[in-house]
Amino acid sequence: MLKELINEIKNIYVQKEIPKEFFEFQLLEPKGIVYAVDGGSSIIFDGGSWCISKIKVGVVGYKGKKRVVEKIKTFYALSKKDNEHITTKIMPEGKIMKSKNLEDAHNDVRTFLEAKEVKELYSKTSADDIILVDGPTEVLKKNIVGVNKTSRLRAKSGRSLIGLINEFGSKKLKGKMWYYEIGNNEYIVKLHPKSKFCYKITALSKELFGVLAYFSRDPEIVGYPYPLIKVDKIARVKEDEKKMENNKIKLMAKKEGLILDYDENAAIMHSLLDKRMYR
Amino acid sequence: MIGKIVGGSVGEKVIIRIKSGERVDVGDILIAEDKETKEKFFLKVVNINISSLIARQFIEEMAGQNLESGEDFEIFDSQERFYRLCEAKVLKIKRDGKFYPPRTIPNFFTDVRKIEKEDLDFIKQEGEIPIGHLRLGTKKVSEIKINLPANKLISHHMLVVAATGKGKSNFAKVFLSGLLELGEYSAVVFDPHNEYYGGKGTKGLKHHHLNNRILYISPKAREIPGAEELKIHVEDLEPDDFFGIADLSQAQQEALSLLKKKYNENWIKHLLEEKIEKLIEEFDKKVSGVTFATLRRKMQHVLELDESGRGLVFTIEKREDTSIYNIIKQGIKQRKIIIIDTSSVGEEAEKIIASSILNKLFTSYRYAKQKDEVEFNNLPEVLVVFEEAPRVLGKEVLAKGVNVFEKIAREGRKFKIGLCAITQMPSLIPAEILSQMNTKVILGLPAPADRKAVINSSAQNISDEDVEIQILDMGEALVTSPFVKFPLPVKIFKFEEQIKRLQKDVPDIAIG
Repeated sequence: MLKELINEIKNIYVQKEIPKEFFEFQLLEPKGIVYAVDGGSSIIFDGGSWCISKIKVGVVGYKGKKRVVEKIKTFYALSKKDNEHITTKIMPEGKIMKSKNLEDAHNDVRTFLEAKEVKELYSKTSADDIILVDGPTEVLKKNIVGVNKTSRLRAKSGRSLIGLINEFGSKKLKGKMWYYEIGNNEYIVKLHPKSKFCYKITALSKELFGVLAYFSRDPEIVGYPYPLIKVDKIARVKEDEKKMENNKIKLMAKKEGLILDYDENAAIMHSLLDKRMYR
Repeated sequence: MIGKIVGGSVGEKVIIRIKSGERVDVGDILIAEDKETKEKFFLKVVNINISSLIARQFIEEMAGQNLESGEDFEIFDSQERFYRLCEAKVLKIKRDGKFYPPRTIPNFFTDVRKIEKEDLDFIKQEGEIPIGHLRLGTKKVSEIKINLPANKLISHHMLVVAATGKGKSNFAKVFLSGLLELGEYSAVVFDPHNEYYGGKGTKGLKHHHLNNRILYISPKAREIPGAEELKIHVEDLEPDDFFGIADLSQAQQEALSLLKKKYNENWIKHLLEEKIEKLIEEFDKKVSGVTFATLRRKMQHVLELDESGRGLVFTIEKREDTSIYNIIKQGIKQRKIIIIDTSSVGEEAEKIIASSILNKLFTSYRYAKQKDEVEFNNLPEVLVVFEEAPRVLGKEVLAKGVNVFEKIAREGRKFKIGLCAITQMPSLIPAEILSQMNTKVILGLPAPADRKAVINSSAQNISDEDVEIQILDMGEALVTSPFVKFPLPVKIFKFEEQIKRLQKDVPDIAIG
């Protein structure tokens, strides 16, 4: 069975185009502060027809190697089915958002809050400052750069575009840092000569790649900007944090005369099986 | 603040994350103060680890790439991600001004700071003999002087252990100079290297401002003003002086006892000068000629006698003046420090000299205790200092029979005689003898077997100090004793500086 599938994949690897326009760039010391913004979110209580999520948006800022900014904002959101839509109320904002499904509502909220944070931050930054955003950025300004770790972009052959570009770029400019422009302010970029990875970067200015390379020399993930690693760590909603919040919700509800366990049990069997049987 | 508590357990150790840039050494004493309970934990650093939030394999890869390819990485937030973790044992807990044994540990994130002088206010002025300064890791705390309590410590025996060159003799000289200052105690020092009294180029106790309280006994006394000649007439020796010291079979030991019984004080003279045939007859053939011949040869060898029965120290000549034993006895009564130079004689002769002197000392103290309580109470406590102690207290030596050193180690306390055994190989001394040495001055032991022997026989639990003991530098000591609150890290005075300092009156804080 698998062999048949592999044979099918072979067709994808038939070379229909050869990327040629690779450009080398050099490392650049940042002049201003380099910020990174990222969010983390998770459902902390699933009531079956409604859920409460926790969303965290983090910001770190580095002046050279020194971290000068680190802050985290915490939000909660209640999502519930309302006729055809899922409506989510974000606290403490009080804003109401609509989503297509309950499971993804917290991701929508997170994306919204990340973008909001980027806008706020941008209004306070100077011309030499840079804002790195994890993923595609909705706000595209001169000093805002979106770094996508993964991409579903395809080449004409059907092959992953990042994979294809990485293969050719790594051979052509071995031991160098390079970028490949795919249009519409999007680039495939290798940020460290020793890195096995390339990222799709959205930016108005390719001059910023040198600064990104400056921050991509940390050995934890060579070739990925360290401020994004750091902000990911602080913004992540961790498993034990989820458990703690879940207990807190149940306790608070109990004080109000609400027993939530029955509704929760209706929703969590799948994750329970995952935990008990497939660990 | 230099760190925060991040883990630990009562039975084990507490773990402290150290702030970047802060220097902490093994042996440092730190304070963790719980702001809620107001408890103050006295912690001693026993080990230090380097740690990281980055997985070990990445670190190894990083180092490898740097080594093999010259690749230079830039580490961001390195102070947060690469750090030191200290393992520390809880020495004591201070609660409401009182000290308690470590039955609990500080909480997560409790602030940890270095010890300050005020933290040591509890230290009482009980000790009388200054031996050095409090040591925190490798740093000495000049404001805190460590004194040891002579009255409890001497008769409970001491063990001074260290590898060569770590300062065993220096410590002994410092301690003896402290005894000199007190003037209440006596000591008998057997000096195989002639380093205690001092000579040209080397400072010794003769340079002490109270050197009139020193009695120096040497075979070369004629060259030294005020010294007494170390001369022992064999008529003053007893068979006991040889037992457990000289290599004698059971038959030979019995023969010595028979000789003594028959000839009294002339027993050695007869053994050495009488014809073997006549000796055999006189003892009704109970002792073989081979035994007499062997004993004669051994006696001549051990006592280093020439053909005429004379040697550097021992002689068969009749004594016409006061014996050296009486001179020593008198010196002890006068609370003098008696230094016996045995550097010119062989090891066997030295052991017989020491054995004979100590046998007489032990007998006279025991006799005084049994017969005359007033006289006994007037006698000072005596410290016997013996270098390379396994020569007389080693497992192999003691297997041959009980000697006076073992007797002192086991019973000396009752008779106010203490032993200061100095060695670099404590593992050669039986565990039960080591455990009799209540106070241990440990000056650095690289050999694991020696550390184990000392740790297992200490009055206080110092098993966590294994690393510290291993890496102690010259003059750095760890003192364990039932008479101190916790194992004390000390930087021992340099003797040369100590005798200068003793001229002045320096106010001290002491640990008792």
